[in-house]
Amino acid sequence: MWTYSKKLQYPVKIKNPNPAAAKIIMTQLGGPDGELAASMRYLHQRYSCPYGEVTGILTDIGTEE
Amino acid sequence: MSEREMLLKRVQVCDFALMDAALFLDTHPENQMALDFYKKHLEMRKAAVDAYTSKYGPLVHTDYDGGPYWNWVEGPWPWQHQEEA
Repeated sequence: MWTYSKKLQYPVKIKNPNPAAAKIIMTQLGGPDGELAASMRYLHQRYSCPYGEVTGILTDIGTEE
Repeated sequence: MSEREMLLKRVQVCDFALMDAALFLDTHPENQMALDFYKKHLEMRKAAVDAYTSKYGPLVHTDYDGGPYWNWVEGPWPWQHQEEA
Protein backbone atom coordinates (compact mmCIF):
# COMPACT_ATOMS: atom_id res chain seq x y z
CA MET A 1 0.00 0.00 0.00
CA TRP A 2 0.99 3.66 -0.26
CA THR A 3 1.29 6.46 2.22
CA TYR A 4 1.39 10.22 1.83
CA SER A 5 4.35 12.28 3.09
CA LYS A 6 3.74 15.96 3.69
CA LYS A 7 6.83 17.11 1.83
CA LEU A 8 8.11 17.56 -1.69
CA GLN A 9 10.51 15.03 -3.14
CA TYR A 10 12.69 17.92 -4.32
CA PRO A 11 12.51 21.54 -3.21
CA VAL A 12 10.69 23.86 -5.63
CA LYS A 13 11.38 27.57 -5.86
CA ILE A 14 9.48 29.41 -8.60
CA LYS A 15 11.23 32.68 -9.50
CA ASN A 16 9.08 33.65 -12.49
CA PRO A 17 5.48 32.32 -12.52
CA ASN A 18 4.65 31.05 -16.03
CA PRO A 19 1.05 29.83 -16.56
CA ALA A 20 1.79 28.37 -20.01
CA ALA A 21 4.66 26.27 -18.67
CA ALA A 22 2.54 25.32 -15.65
CA LYS A 23 -0.15 23.97 -17.97
CA ILE A 24 2.38 21.74 -19.75
CA ILE A 25 3.79 20.53 -16.43
CA MET A 26 0.33 19.72 -15.07
CA THR A 27 -0.38 17.68 -18.21
CA GLN A 28 2.95 15.93 -17.84
CA LEU A 29 1.88 15.01 -14.29
CA GLY A 30 -1.74 13.95 -14.68
CA GLY A 31 -2.34 13.83 -18.43
CA PRO A 32 -2.80 10.78 -20.68
CA ASP A 33 0.95 10.16 -21.06
CA GLY A 34 1.87 11.67 -17.73
CA GLU A 35 3.64 10.46 -14.62
CA LEU A 36 0.50 9.20 -12.92
CA ALA A 37 -0.51 7.06 -15.91
CA ALA A 38 3.04 5.70 -16.20
CA SER A 39 3.16 4.87 -12.49
CA MET A 40 -0.06 2.86 -12.81
CA ARG A 41 1.43 0.93 -15.75
CA TYR A 42 4.57 0.08 -13.77
CA LEU A 43 2.54 -1.03 -10.79
CA HIS A 44 0.30 -3.26 -12.90
CA GLN A 45 3.05 -4.79 -15.04
CA ARG A 46 4.89 -5.98 -11.94
CA TYR A 47 2.12 -8.48 -11.18
CA SER A 48 3.05 -10.59 -14.19
CA CYS A 49 6.77 -10.15 -13.80
CA PRO A 50 8.73 -13.40 -13.31
CA TYR A 51 11.83 -11.93 -11.60
CA GLY A 52 11.81 -10.71 -8.02
CA GLU A 53 14.32 -7.94 -8.54
CA VAL A 54 12.34 -6.60 -11.53
CA THR A 55 9.12 -6.75 -9.49
CA GLY A 56 11.02 -4.76 -6.87
CA ILE A 57 12.26 -2.10 -9.23
CA LEU A 58 8.88 -1.73 -10.97
CA THR A 59 7.38 -1.24 -7.52
CA ASP A 60 9.96 1.39 -6.63
CA ILE A 61 9.78 3.25 -9.96
CA GLY A 62 5.98 3.24 -9.86
CA THR A 63 6.13 4.54 -6.31
CA GLU A 64 8.66 7.21 -7.19
CA GLU A 65 6.57 8.49 -10.13
CA MET B 1 -2.08 -18.80 10.48
CA SER B 2 1.72 -18.68 10.35
CA GLU B 3 3.71 -16.50 12.74
CA ARG B 4 4.58 -14.22 9.86
CA GLU B 5 0.92 -13.73 8.98
CA MET B 6 0.07 -13.11 12.62
CA LEU B 7 2.75 -10.46 13.09
CA LEU B 8 1.75 -8.82 9.80
CA LYS B 9 -1.90 -8.82 10.86
CA ARG B 10 -0.95 -6.86 13.97
CA VAL B 11 0.62 -4.15 11.84
CA GLN B 12 -2.42 -4.14 9.55
CA VAL B 13 -4.85 -3.84 12.46
CA CYS B 14 -2.89 -0.91 13.91
CA ASP B 15 -2.60 0.80 10.54
CA PHE B 16 -6.32 0.46 9.92
CA ALA B 17 -7.16 1.89 13.34
CA LEU B 18 -4.70 4.76 12.82
CA MET B 19 -6.06 5.56 9.35
CA ASP B 20 -9.62 5.67 10.66
CA ALA B 21 -8.67 7.75 13.69
CA ALA B 22 -6.76 10.15 11.42
CA LEU B 23 -9.87 10.70 9.29
CA PHE B 24 -11.80 11.62 12.44
CA LEU B 25 -8.99 13.78 13.82
CA ASP B 26 -8.76 15.74 10.56
CA THR B 27 -12.08 17.35 11.50
CA HIS B 28 -11.87 16.94 15.31
CA PRO B 29 -8.26 17.98 16.09
CA GLU B 30 -8.86 18.56 19.81
CA ASN B 31 -10.81 15.43 20.66
CA GLN B 32 -8.83 13.96 23.55
CA MET B 33 -10.39 10.52 23.30
CA ALA B 34 -9.42 10.27 19.64
CA LEU B 35 -5.92 11.59 20.38
CA ASP B 36 -5.46 8.98 23.11
CA PHE B 37 -6.74 6.28 20.77
CA TYR B 38 -4.29 7.39 18.10
CA LYS B 39 -1.38 7.51 20.53
CA LYS B 40 -2.12 4.04 21.90
CA HIS B 41 -2.30 2.47 18.45
CA LEU B 42 0.79 4.34 17.28
CA GLU B 43 2.78 2.72 20.09
CA MET B 44 1.26 -0.68 19.34
CA ARG B 45 2.12 -0.21 15.67
CA LYS B 46 5.75 0.60 16.42
CA ALA B 47 6.10 -2.58 18.48
CA ALA B 48 4.33 -4.63 15.80
CA VAL B 49 6.54 -3.25 13.00
CA ASP B 50 9.70 -3.93 15.02
CA ALA B 51 8.57 -7.50 15.71
CA TYR B 52 7.75 -8.13 12.05
CA THR B 53 10.73 -6.48 10.37
CA SER B 54 13.32 -7.99 12.70
CA LYS B 55 12.21 -11.48 11.57
CA TYR B 56 10.69 -11.18 8.12
CA GLY B 57 12.37 -8.22 6.47
CA PRO B 58 11.32 -4.70 5.54
CA LEU B 59 7.77 -3.42 5.07
CA VAL B 60 9.12 -0.22 3.52
CA HIS B 61 12.66 0.07 2.16
CA THR B 62 13.62 2.43 4.98
CA ASP B 63 13.20 -0.56 7.33
CA TYR B 64 16.66 -1.62 6.04
CA ASP B 65 18.51 -3.24 8.95
CA GLY B 66 21.99 -1.95 8.06
CA GLY B 67 23.24 -5.44 7.21
CA PRO B 68 25.40 -6.56 4.26
CA TYR B 69 22.45 -7.51 2.01
CA TRP B 70 19.58 -5.54 0.43
CA ASN B 71 16.57 -7.84 0.93
CA TRP B 72 13.87 -5.38 -0.13
CA VAL B 73 13.09 -7.11 -3.45
CA GLU B 74 12.72 -10.56 -1.88
CA GLY B 75 9.27 -12.20 -1.92
CA PRO B 76 6.71 -12.99 -0.99
CA TRP B 77 5.02 -9.88 -2.31
CA PRO B 78 1.66 -9.08 -0.74
CA TRP B 79 -0.26 -10.60 -3.67
CA GLN B 80 1.70 -13.86 -3.71
CA HIS B 81 0.91 -17.08 -1.93
CA GLN B 82 3.70 -18.33 0.30
CA GLU B 83 4.42 -21.33 -1.94
CA GLU B 84 4.93 -19.38 -5.18
CA ALA B 85 7.37 -16.89 -3.69
